[in-house]
Amino acid sequence: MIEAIQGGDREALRRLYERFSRYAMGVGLRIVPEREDVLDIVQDTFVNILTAIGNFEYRGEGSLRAWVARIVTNRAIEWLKEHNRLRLSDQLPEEMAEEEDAPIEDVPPDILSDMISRLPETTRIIVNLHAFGQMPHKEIAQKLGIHVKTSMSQYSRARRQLAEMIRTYLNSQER
Amino acid sequence: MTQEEWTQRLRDHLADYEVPVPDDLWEKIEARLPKEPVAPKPKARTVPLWVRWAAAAVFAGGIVGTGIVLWPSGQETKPLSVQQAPAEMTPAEKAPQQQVPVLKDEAPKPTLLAEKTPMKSEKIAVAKAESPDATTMAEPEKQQSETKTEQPETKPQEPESKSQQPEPEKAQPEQQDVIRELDQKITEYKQRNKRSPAINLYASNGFGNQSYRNGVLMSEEMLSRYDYYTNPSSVGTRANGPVYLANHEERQKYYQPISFGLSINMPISSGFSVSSGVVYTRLRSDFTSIANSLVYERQQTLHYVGIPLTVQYNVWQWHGLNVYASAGGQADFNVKARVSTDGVDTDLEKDDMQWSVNAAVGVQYNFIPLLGVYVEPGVKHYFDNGSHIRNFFKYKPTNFNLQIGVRMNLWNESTRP
Repeated sequence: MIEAIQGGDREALRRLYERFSRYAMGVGLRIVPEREDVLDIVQDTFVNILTAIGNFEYRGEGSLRAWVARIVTNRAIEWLKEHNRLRLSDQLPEEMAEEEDAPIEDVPPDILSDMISRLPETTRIIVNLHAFGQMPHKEIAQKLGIHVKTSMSQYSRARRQLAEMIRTYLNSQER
Repeated sequence: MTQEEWTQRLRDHLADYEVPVPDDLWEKIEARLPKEPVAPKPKARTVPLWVRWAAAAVFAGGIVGTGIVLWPSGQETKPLSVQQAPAEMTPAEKAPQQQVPVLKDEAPKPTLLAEKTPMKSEKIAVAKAESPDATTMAEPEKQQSETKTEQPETKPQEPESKSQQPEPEKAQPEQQDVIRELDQKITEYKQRNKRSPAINLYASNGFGNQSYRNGVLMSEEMLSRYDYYTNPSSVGTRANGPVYLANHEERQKYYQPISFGLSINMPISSGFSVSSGVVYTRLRSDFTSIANSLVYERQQTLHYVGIPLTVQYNVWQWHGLNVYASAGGQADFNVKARVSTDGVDTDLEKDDMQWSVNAAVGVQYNFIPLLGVYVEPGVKHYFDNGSHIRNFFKYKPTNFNLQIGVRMNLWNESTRP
């Protein structure tokens, strides 16, 4: 199938889109919360992906999935910049009290995704790049023009913020 | 729970998370796809150094060859009025026309010379203009005039020549004065214009691509979370070296910078000159991050436009060969930064202004007075500009480079406007 895709076969391209478009939508919504905006981003992403697929070195299903996620993430960050909705902060975040991690698995994926999308901009981008894009902090620092320490601190802060959100959510569910 | 474990749980929990998309999204995407499949980009390949220099040599040779063919030589720069003087013109008609090319330039007072010795001085002046070393060429004329002054003595039977010869006898001392004056002016002119402004067109590159292959260090924060500093089993092991994350690796390759420049060289004294202009530099780096089984590849290309300022000192000169030393600085501005992730290009944050200093020794050979080629091996140091952008300048701040180019003098004695 990959050969047909790289050869530009429309049916193969469509099958690739069908396999990954919903996943791309999920990735986009973690970065840009508004669904309509993410639809534009996913559209741009697939135009890019299907145009550049010939250059992609296929190393299995996982590599293709990771590639799609990276392209969506990059396009979403660009989109935020283009719409002046990305004000990255290079300030080290204030220390938060150490707390026990909340059980991530107890939160439905759509709720967890929504929680991530509600994190402050810089933190949200770093979480997406590091946790889901598996990008090292050094790379993130270069990509966003911030210090490595900022990236690491923001990530730690995101963990605590998410823990707090999860606890609040779980408490609300218990009532 | 360690940060690594927390990250893995977060990632796993959303690994299969999907959100439905509208049915008509594919139609919108398909409408924007090119009709024909896009051919894959050719794989970036490293051109061997010898091929680059060969290409540069061919380029320089082409320019020199073109210059030799197209650029008029000193002889050919004689104005057309001299070259194309009609044969049927009388000497009287020729005289004013021939005076123009010789003396329209500036100094050597043509009218004075023309008034005093119309025909002979005209020949002398023309000879001087054609060759600045024409003092020797004037000698036969002087000898000729001396011979002529003797003619009345040897041929007394020709009364007409008797009556005409005394004038040259009287004019000779004045003529010699004029010749001396001309010689002096020409010498001054030559010295003043020995080194004219020049335009340099060149290519240069640094030496040696830089490749690194590193493990990914565990951060201080993670070490703390693992109780690395207090755990008795790890005490003392810190001295054995840093702690790396398993299955993580970073590979970086920094390609040598390649530059093309155009500058103008202005002499400021007999030995010194300064030059400045504009330089384009391309800097490419490849990054590969491996996290567990995931490979993350990026190709970063930075485009700089720089302004150099260089002082040059002429050390030695022999015929067309010139050896010089130069030193200076350069400010480079990153005008474009792109990153390609598996074939998809996006913009990257631009690098800050980059300062550098350089010193070089150059050898120039002039094929013709107006055009020469030069080779400048040198050393360059790039200062840390404090930006986060990783590139060749940061990983090899001091490096040897080689610049080759063509240098075109704007004028010489015979062609100065």
